[in-house]
Amino acid sequence: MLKIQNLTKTYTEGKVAVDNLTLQVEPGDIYGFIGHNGAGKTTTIKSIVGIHEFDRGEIYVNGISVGENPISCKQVMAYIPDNPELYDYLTGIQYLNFIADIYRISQKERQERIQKEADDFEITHALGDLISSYSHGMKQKLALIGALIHKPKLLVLDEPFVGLDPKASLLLKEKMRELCSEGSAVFFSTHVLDVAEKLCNKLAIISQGKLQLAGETSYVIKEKSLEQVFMEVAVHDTTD
Amino acid sequence: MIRQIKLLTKLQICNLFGINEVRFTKDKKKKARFCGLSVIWAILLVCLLSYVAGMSFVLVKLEAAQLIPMVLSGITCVIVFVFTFLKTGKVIFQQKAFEQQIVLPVSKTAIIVSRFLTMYLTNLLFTVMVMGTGGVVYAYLVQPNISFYIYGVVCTMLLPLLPITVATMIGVIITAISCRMKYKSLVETALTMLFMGGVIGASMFSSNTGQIAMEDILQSLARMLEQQIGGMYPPALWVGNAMVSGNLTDFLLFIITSLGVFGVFLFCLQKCFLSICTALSTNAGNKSFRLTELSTSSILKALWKKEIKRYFASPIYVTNTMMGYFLMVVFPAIFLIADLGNINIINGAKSLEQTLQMEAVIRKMFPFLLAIMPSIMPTTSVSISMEGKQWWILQSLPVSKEKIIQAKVLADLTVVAPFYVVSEILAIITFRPSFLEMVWLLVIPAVYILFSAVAGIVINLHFPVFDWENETVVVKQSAATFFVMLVGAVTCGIPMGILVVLPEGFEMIYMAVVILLVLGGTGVLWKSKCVDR
Repeated sequence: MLKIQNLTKTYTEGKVAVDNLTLQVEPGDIYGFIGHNGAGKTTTIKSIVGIHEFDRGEIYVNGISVGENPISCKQVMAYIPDNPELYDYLTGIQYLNFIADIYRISQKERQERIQKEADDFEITHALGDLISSYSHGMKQKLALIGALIHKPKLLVLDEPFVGLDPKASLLLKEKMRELCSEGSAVFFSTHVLDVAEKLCNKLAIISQGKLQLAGETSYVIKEKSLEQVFMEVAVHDTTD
Repeated sequence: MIRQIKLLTKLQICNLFGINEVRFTKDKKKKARFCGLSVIWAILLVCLLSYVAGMSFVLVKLEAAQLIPMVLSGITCVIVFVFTFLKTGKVIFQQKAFEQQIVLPVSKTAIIVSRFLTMYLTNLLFTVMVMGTGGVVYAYLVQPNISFYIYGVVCTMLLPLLPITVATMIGVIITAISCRMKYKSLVETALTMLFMGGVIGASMFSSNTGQIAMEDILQSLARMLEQQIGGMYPPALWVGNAMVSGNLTDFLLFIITSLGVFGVFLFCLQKCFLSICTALSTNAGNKSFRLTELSTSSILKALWKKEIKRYFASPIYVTNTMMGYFLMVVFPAIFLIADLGNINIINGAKSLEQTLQMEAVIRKMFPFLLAIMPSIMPTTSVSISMEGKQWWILQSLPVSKEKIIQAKVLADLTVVAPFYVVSEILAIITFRPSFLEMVWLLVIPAVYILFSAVAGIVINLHFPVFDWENETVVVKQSAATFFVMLVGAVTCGIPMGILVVLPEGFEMIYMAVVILLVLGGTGVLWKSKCVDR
């Protein structure tokens, strides 16, 4: 579903944010991407979703090259950043309808999906309000509904659990599992190691732009906890 | 309190014009861009100061040197007032900065004064340059006594205070009225436009040019200037009298008025500041929302609808861009209402236009005069930057760059269309043009509107700003705004200038060539940046 080959991204100031990164996400995977602040997680994610251009390497989504055919890739993908800034001047329903228009979802389908997801996330009552009146958590929920509205084959999330209340966190995990059970894949970055350990079937640890460890969760963790592994791999690497 | 004000003002000024960012960024492109822009600003500044100096020389030659301080202070105050008025609400009631500052142990007064001071200091810079240049010319040619210098320095320092206070006062009243309403942005925009329209209208009808009778045109213009500025803005007259005649009463009157109005305003604003800020951050909720039938749109229409909503959600965006469109209608309206042919300015029956043989020139130039107004600030000039931190949405959605640009250009054309239609109707009624004149009158503004919409987006794509906290930074202070204004003025101004000096009989070919060139330029710009490759 997602194939990253030798991805390298250098910023104009000369800082290498991602260095020769290679990993693969299969359909059905819930893939956790872990690293300390500034490790290169967000840069990798932004390269996948077409926000950042990259210097070297290739990214394929559903077998299509992001560099060559970004629109086709985005058609099957959805992305939510760590701090989803949405259109404050639209109401919740206007935003969702706008997203549905862009993905060309039929009127019947969008009606059903918006109703269901908004009910699940318990924000139906607020859909008529301007987004500027929403709390951080409500914006996050709205962004999630917008991301799920076209049933993406690949859902890419940057720190999705920040700002969500426990109930919404639980719901998001359920939605992830539901999506993956239908053959899609989820790729997300997180600092919450406990969640990653329990939720993901695959993990990757990145440090200073380089992939340190990747594979099945059991392979990555072995006999230890993810926290121990992370401290050994990532923190050890930054002190070198 | 003084320490708090100093600290807060320093914080605001530290990134004025993006100086702090340029100072510490490691991005060489950003630094180079800033340097290039600074050079252009410096050139423009030299042009402005040369213009001020030239104007002062002309007044001396007209034996009206005594008008220099009054005229310059009047013009400065009008400019300061207009520019402050259009951004005051956003500066005084900056939402994010308010939330960050109000939790600190600083007083409300310190927050208000620091915001006010930032506006004052930037305007003072402009005032010192204008008044200083005119003052140097006056001092060199007239050699006044010491009171000119003493009063001059004090008056210059206080000059921006009154227009900023009055503009802020009106801005605050508008914000206070609109902040509690459901559609606060729309109400704020409407009130701002209404006020600006009122000011323009009032100045049109108070101009009274028809009744002035004098023996010499230039002298009459100087006298007219004195009457106009003195009538519209008496403090300018006080400044003039204080500086030129050493009139202590007028000097004190100016100081007391400036400081008094500011003091009263500050006292009143303190009382309502917090409640306005709170009301601005509170939105009317609709707790009983029920999902009804949703409409579907094509991608382009969805993007266009989003653009239109974004545009009308920002009063500062609307008022700044719509001013040009608004003037596009006002301009032919002035000619229609004033009936230029019957205005007697010179003693006797001769009209101004007959005396200066202006009618033919005005008729010829009118298509360009109409075109220049919407060209200097199209909505597209900042429409990419206005995406701000929400730019990620469009970047990550499956829409092509071409579609996004098409929607933005289309939104600009949608906004300008009603103004274009009304201004054309008024122009046709006023000038009763021949068939060919009608063609130029209709086509030239239309092609320039299209050109400026495309040029605006291309320039904004070259100079985007996304990491802003306050819309004022994008709409009023960004490089894109500046370049679009420059391009609009130059591309309209040069052909208009050539037209004036063009020999008789070449107009038709000339106009056709201009239209083709502008359309060609539009096409080249579109292909260069707006088409997916």
